[in-house]
Amino acid sequence: MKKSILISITVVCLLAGCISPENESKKLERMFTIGTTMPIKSINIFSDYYFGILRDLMMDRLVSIGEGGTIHPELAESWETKENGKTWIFKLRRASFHDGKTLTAEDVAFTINYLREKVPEYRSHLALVEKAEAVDERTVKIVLSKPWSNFLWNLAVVNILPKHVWENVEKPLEFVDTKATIGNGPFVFESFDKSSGLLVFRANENYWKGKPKVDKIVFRIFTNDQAMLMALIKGEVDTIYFYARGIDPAIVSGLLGKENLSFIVVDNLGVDNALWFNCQRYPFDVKDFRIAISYALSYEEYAKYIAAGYAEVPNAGFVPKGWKFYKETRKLEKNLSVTNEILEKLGFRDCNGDGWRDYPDCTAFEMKLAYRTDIVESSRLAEFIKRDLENVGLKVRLQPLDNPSFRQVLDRDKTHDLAISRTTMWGMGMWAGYATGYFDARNIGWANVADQRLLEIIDALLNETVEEKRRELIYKLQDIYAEELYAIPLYWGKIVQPYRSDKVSGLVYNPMMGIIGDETWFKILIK
Amino acid sequence: MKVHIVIIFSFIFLAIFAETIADFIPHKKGEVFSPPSSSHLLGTNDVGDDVLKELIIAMRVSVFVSIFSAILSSTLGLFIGIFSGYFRGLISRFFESVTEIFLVIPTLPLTIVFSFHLTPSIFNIVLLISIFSWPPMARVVRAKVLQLKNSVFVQSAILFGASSLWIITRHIVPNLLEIFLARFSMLIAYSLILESSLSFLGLSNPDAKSWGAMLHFALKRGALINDAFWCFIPPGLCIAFFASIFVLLSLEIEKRYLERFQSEN
Amino acid sequence: MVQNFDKIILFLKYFLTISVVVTLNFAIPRVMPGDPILNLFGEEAYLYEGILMELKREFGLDKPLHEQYLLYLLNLFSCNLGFSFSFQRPVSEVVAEYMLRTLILTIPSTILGIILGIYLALLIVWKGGERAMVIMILIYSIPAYWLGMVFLYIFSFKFGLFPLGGAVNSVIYINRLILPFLTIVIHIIVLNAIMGRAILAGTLRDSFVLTAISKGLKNSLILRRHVLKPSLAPIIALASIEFGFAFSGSTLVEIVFSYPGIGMLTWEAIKTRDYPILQAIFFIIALVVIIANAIADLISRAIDPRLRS
Repeated sequence: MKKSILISITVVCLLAGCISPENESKKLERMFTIGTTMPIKSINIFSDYYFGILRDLMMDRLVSIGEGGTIHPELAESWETKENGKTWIFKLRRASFHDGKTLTAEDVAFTINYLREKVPEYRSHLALVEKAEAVDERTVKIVLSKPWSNFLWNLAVVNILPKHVWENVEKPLEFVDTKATIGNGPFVFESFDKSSGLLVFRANENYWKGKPKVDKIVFRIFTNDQAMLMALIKGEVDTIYFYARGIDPAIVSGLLGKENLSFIVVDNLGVDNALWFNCQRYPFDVKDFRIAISYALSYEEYAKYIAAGYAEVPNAGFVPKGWKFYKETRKLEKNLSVTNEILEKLGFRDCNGDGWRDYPDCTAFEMKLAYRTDIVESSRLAEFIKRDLENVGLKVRLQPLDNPSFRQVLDRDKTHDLAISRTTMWGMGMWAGYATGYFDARNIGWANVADQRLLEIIDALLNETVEEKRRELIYKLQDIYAEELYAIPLYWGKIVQPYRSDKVSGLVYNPMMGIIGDETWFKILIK
Repeated sequence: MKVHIVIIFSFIFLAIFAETIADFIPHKKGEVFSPPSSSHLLGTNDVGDDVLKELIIAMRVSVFVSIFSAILSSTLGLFIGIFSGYFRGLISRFFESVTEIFLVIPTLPLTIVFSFHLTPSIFNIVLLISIFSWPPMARVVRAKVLQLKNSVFVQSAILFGASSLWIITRHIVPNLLEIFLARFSMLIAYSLILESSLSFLGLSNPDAKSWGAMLHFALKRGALINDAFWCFIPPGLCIAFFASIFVLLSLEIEKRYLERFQSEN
Repeated sequence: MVQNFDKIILFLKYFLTISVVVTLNFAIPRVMPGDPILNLFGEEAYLYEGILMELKREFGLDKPLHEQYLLYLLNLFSCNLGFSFSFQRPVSEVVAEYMLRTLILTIPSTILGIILGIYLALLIVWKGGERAMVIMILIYSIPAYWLGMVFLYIFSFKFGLFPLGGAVNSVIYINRLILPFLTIVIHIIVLNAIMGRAILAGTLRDSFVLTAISKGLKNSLILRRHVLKPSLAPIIALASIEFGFAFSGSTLVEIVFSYPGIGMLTWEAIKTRDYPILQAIFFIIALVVIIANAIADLISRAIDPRLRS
């Protein structure tokens, strides 16, 4: 009898011993646990898109993006540009890689040339680079094939690789070695365990800004976002992260009032959801038709039911408040009489009495509305928009697509009529900035605009480096957006980032990268 | 068994008149995730719609899809089963292989794969489900046909030089009836679950939501986190209840059939 | 002479089945719209003219379909399952890893489920339980993913007994398996109870059981020798088929519990249009099910002399 009690106690102690060491080590080191549903599969920053999002933790860029879409120096202490943005010269600060070697201009030049040549995504980001070369140990010169005032924006996603690691790597997408994670960034990659879904980073003590105020970051990967939120509520994770968004606002009400949960609420500098017209298709190439549709939408309802109140009715100028050169344009509103008037004038009447408006030549008219099924807010929004448009007699056929099919239709084939999609903050600044990449048919072009008026301004902007002149052009841009409505923003949302106030404070939401931006690591406080 | 039939017919009745019944509930948008109250008997969902109203409308979709899929797949299974069971030689072997191939394929992943290629209209969903659910019926029918073929009636009919068509329609099909109906009933339940699984993953017709789709939206938009169990529990219970009625019916039919078989021998 | 001809036809049948399966495995993933290469680009990438073609060439996806097919066949025969785009690892590695995780869950639950299920079936058949059957069927009709979510909500969320996905400490791995195990095993128990009862009830009706009862044999002896034993053949046939399906994993349950098994891998591969992985998974599952069916056939014939024709 005594023997069995002794054995049971020993067993319990052993088990307890298994459970507690973690708690003990927790007191000694500052650990930050982040829950995420990003399906990270491998530790290659190029082939695994989601792991790539975390590359700023491990590697620095020349410049970073901050409040209002402004550019800030990171690895580049200073820079100058010649020939209106054709040549760029950067002066680097002192820094060293995780393995101790110094970061020089050679590494920077190598990175730019290497990425442009060998990595698909960078072939587009760095398409204009003619050559990059090291002038001296801490100066890099990059020459473009033509002036590009917005080049720094692209550089904000180019993280500097160590030349001595990558120079012999023929296939960068297949290089899945720990060495591939070496950079000079604030954190060092430690481990990735797929079966338990844990991704661990350690602080880099030799980071040039100083040692980050957290010793270890643990990402816990969930495939079920509801389970992740439950883990947040129970305190198993300190916060959650997903690139370029917060949590679905509908969930916020369930989190309010839960113990120890606080929220960071910031304005989203991207547009959460917008209705994109394929402006090279009839009748979406007719400005008045687009305007008519804009008056048929129930913006208030979208803000209330899709964004659960964490949004406001947007202005026609598309670009959200908070951008440096934001210009106030007219607020979008719902006015069915305007819609009906314009549609009648354009000849879209119900010829056969079936309740639906037909083409002016009386053939049946139907619009396809493409949306992503893997984003549940899009699905709900699609239902609302369809209902709103059918209210004014326009027949809508929903086109649910999953991510790959959606990208095929929108990015490649351009066979959509209408589409619902969001813009990220970085995406807004691409091309010539201020959403031009999304409008211009020569770039991502979801709105597929080939309108000379717009293209001229974009080209002028790409060549303009003088601040004052840029401001003028960007104001003009927003005026055109408001007038033409190539795409209708559906609401300007807020990003709601929840976190456990009993575990952590001092998180800073960087407009581009969210809470994993650099600012956080030096303001964060682990309790 | 009478009980089962009564329940089933009331389901079908409700399904046909679902819209009219649902219209009794005013289309007033309530607050998001509000609990059951006098104005909304089962509360509201993530966009303020009345859950009960959605439930009734979804019933129509779920019922129709499952019944029509079952009809289509049973018919297909019946034909293939008879063909592969009655005729000898290559044709029979061919259909046997086809049946086996389909049995071997993992259903859910395959239906998911094909759903991407088709727009998720009700017709396409029915088609998709039918294409992958006929094999069990074919197999059962084939086994029975093989058995029947060796019976006295059929053997003598063949000797008398009766045409295959005559034999099949006169002797084989009538004796297949119970097995067929039992399996048909099971197929309805199976189609319902398969459809709800696809909808749960988000691959449903956005214009006509089924119970599975209701679960999808309830889950994805945080019904659990909001403790809004009224969004989540009713559709699941409906699926369970509806499917189980058909399975029970199937078992009842089998039981009756076996009893008749016993008494004959 | 006739026997040999029959054997040849049988062989041809298997050959036809396998070749069709192999071809379908090639065709099916490619049927889906959407480009796997597009997934290598983020949503903010601008795809300039020709870049997709370049990449296709690099990854060998630009070759005409028949060439790709031949390559696929060649690889299959040399046991090379290919290279995954999204994982950037050999497919065999990835599939083996995920399959192992699924089997840890499904094999024990299948074994336990069958044993408990048949035992329940015996009880029901012997003691006569109409009400029990109705309950079984009701439980069986509950969608597994819904049950899983309810368990997750009650036990992980409200009571905090189990982790919500991913283990905090990899040592305590078992804790993570319990809820999915429970969800899956309940379904298997109930399935076997229902199917088992049908089989056993059939045996019970046979006249020799009556003879045994009239002989005055003990109940347990009757059960064992005259009811269970003759039913073994179809039960084992059922069991081997269930083991076959243990390999395909339960996609929905795995997603609900964030469990990275083969079901989840299939879903991810579909989402990213990762052809090699999908091909490999379909092929392996098909192979396993075919083998399971063949084994079921063999065992049935071996155990029950009545089935040998």
